[in-house]
Amino acid sequence: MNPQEIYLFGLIGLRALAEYDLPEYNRSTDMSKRELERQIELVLEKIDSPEAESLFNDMKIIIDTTESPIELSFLLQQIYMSSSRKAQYYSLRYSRQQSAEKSQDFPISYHESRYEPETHISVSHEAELVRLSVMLLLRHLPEYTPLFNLHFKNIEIDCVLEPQLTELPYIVVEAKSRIVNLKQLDIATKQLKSAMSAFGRKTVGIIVLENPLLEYNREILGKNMHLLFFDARKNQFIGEELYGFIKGIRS
Amino acid sequence: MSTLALHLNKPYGYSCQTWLATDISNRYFSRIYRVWFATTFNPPNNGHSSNPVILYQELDQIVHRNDFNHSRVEQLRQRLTNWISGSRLTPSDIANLRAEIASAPVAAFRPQLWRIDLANIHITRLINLGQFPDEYQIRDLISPEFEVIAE
Repeated sequence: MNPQEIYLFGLIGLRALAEYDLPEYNRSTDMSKRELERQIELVLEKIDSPEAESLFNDMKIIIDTTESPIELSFLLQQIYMSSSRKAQYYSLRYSRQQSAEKSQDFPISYHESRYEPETHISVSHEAELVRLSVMLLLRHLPEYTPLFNLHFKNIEIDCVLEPQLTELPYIVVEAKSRIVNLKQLDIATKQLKSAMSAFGRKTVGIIVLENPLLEYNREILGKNMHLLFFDARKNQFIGEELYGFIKGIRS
Repeated sequence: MSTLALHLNKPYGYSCQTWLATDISNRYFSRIYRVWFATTFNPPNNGHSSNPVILYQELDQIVHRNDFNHSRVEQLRQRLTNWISGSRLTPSDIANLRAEIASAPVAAFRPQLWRIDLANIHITRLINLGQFPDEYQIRDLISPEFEVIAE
């Protein structure tokens, strides 16, 4: 049995599970029932598996024709178990066959934890603007660790992103929910530059604002500074500046 | 009211995760974790499999006794397998992972207690599973958003 067919049996098992135990199904996958069915049909079109096709059709007949909920649940459990066990059995065979072909084992030590403790993050009560925007930034920058609420030169820095690789720059983040004009932006920029100086010349600064500034001109920020607009309601950055910033970090 | 801390009126979420689930997420899902959580350490109205502290105690004992026939281990194997089966991995990776989960020793199910900082999480990421009153899910947790408090 090839991996596609094993995959198909797994999906049919999930489809049965979705019908008789929805919470358990939701624990397992993000796919909607419709999406799952489409995926099953797509794989069925690609490969020739009379056994899987027959099982899938049986399941559809059971769902359409069984009237008693107890009977329906029982029959679908049988489909789930049958399909899952078949997938399980053939997965083991496939995996062993592959291992034999490659003559190598999985480099896994079950007796040693691979969990590397992250740097302890001391988080006090913090505006949601800085927390949510930093968490979203970290999705683009997985090699950084956040340090919140640092004090430097009488300035409280909202967050410093510390690189795990020495070739990457530090990133200093300031979130400002109340900036509405260029004068306030100018003050915030000067403060941020002062804080950035502590982390070396390559340091990049970010000011996160809640609302886009109408009269904003990119040049007033100067080199290594970015202004990002964050929509806390939708949990997303607005505009293209984020991509320019990420590109600058990666180059 | 954009964060889970405000929405649920709780600062933290608690979850019990196995080493194997975490390791699979690290290797195959770019360290993005699919986790359930409760807003209290010992939610009285949840089932045992959705109670962080009871699940932790139970798994800890199972691992120490190497109780490989325990129904909890079988349930967790099945849950992990279902998760992999419905994921976007390639069929070949899915087959290999199914085999890995099926043959994993009891020690691979050693528990970790996680504390999720709900002030870091936007409400749009919350999934209410609907079975127990205090059981939620986040499907894309990253490491700065939680802390391992016991393992």
